[in-house]
Amino acid sequence: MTAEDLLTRTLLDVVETTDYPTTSTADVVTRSRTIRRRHRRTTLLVAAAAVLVLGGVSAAVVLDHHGSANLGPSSKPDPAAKLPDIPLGAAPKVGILSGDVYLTPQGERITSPAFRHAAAAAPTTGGVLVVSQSNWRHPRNDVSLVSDGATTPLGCGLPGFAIGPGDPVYWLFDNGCAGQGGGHLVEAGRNVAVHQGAPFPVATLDSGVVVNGPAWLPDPQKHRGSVRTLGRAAALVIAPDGTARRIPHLATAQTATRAGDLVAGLNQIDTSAVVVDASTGAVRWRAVAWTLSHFSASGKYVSGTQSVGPQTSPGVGDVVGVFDSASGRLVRSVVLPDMVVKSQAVWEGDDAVLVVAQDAAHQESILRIGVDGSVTRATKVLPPTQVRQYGFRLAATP
Amino acid sequence: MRMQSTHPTGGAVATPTGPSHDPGDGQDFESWLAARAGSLQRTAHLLTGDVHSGQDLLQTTLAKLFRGWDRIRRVDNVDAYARKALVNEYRSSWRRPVRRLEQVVETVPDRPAPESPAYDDTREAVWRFVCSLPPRQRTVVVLRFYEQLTEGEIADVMGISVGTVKSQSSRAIASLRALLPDHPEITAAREAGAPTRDTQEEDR
Repeated sequence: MTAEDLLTRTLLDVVETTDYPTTSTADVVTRSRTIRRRHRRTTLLVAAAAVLVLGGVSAAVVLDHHGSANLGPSSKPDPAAKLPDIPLGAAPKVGILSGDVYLTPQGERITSPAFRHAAAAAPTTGGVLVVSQSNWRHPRNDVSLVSDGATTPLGCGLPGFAIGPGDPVYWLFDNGCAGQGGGHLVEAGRNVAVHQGAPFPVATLDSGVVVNGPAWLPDPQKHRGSVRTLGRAAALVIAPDGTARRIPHLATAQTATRAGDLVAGLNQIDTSAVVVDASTGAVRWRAVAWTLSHFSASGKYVSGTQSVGPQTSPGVGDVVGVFDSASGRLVRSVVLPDMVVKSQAVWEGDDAVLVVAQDAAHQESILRIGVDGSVTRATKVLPPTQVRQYGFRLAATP
Repeated sequence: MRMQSTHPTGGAVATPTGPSHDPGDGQDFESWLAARAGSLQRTAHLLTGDVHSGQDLLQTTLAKLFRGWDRIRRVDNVDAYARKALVNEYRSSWRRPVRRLEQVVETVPDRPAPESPAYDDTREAVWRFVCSLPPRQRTVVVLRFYEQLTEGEIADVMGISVGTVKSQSSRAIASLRALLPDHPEITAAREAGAPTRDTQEEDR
C-alpha cells in the first residue's frame, strides 16, 4: 500500500464512520436569510461610517461618550448552559433512534443496522419502516422493513415519510436505485399513486398526500395537461387516483394537519414560513424568521425553531417556539442559551415538543419544551465522544 | 442555568398573498439537495476537519447556491459547480482574519472505539496529519485522494496551476512518509517499488 492509498483509505474511513446531521431546504433558506441580513447590516454600517467621516465626527469620540455607558448589567452574558444542568424528566413519548437502536414510545428496543444511518423510521403494519442513507459516492436512500429481528429491503426512495393517522407513506423508485424515472407513493406495501419525477412525501390529508414536487407532474386526468409549478419547487397534494393539485403560493410544504386542513411551509415569493389553507392556498398567517416544524396532535398548535447558526456569544442560542395554528399567535418561545437545536420540534400530544439539542461542550440530549415554558431532559446526556456513534434522532422526523 | 421563556404578543402576522413568477422548468433545488447534500457534506467535513465546521461551510455554500438557483440549475454540471462553490467558500473562510485565530487541536473529537488497534492507530495518525496540513494543501489532498479528481480538475476547481497542485500534493505525501517512516505497509510498498499514483499517471 502506498502513502496515497493510505490517505484515500483513511479519508474514506473517516466519512464512512461519521454520522452527519441532515441538511434540509429550511436550513438552507434560514442561512440564506442570515447572510442577506448580514450583508445589509454591513452595508448600513459602511454607510453610517461614511456619514460620520463626512460629517467630521470621530467614531472614536462617539464610542468614548456613549459606547461604554450602554454596557449595563443586562449586557452581562448568562453563564454557559450545559445539558446536564437541566433536570431529567419522563422518557420520550415518540420513537427515537440512537446508533443501531430504535426505541419505541413504549420503551421497546429494536436493533437493526438500517437504523444507524436512518433518515426516518416509523411504525407501520408488520414492523418498523426505515429509510437509510448510504453509499457516500452515489448517495441513495434504502427503504427497509424491520420486523421480528429481520431487515427486509423494499427498494430505493427518498429520505422521508409522510406521517398521518395511517401507515407512513413513502416514495419508491421503479427502476431500483438509479434514482431516475418514475416511481410510486406507497402505503403499507401497496401503491397509492404513480408519478414521474420524485415527489417528496411530507404529510397526509383527507384529500391526499402532501408532497414537495419537481418542476412539473403529469396529470393523468388530462392527456395534454400537467400541474405546472411556479418557481424552484412546489407543494402539491396527490389524490389517491393520482391527480396532482398544486397548493397555491407554497414553494415547499413542511407539515400539514387534517384539523382545519392546514399546510405549513415556505412561501413562494419571499420564502418566509407560512401556514396556508390546503385547498385554496390562502395564507392564514406568516411567521417571519421562523422555520415551522410540526402541528400538534389535535392541530391546535404548530411548533417552530429559529437557528442562530454557530454561536459565538455566550447566552445566545437557538429558539423553540409554539404558535397557535389558527391565528399564528406566538404562544411560547424558549431560548436555549449556548445550545444548538439539531432537529425539528416534534410534538408529544398537545403539551410539549421534543428537540435534539447540543450544548457548547458538544454534549447531546433530547429536550422536552412544554407549552407552559418548562424545559426538561427526556434522555441521558451523551458525551461528545459518543455523539457520532450514538447521537439521538427523533425517529419519524429527524 | 436559565432558559429564557417569553409570552410575546407578536411574531406572526397575517398577510395577504401576492403575485407569483414563473422562471420556468428545471432541476428542482430540493430534489438536488436531497441527492447531493450528503456527498458535499462529507467533502466539507474533510476540508474543515470537523463535522460542525463542515456543516457550517456546507450551509453557507448551499444558501448561496439557493439564491442563484434559477441561473445555476441551467449550467451543464451542477454537481461540479457546487463542489467548486464549496471549495471557494472554504478558501474564503480561511482567508478571513477571524478564521486565522482558530487552532487545530491535538486530538480529533468524536472518535469511535478502535476495532482493529493497529489500523485505527494509523488512521488516527493520518487523519490528524490531514487536519494539520495548511488549508490549501489539505484542499488538494481531499480533492485528489477523496474526490479522486485529476490534477487538471483540481487546478480548475481551485483556480491554481497544475504545477502548484503537483507540488502541494507531493509535499503532503512526503510529509506523510516522514510522519510514518516505519509504517509496515508503506515500507513494504516502497521496498517492492510500488508505483505511486503520480508515476502511474505519468506512465499512462
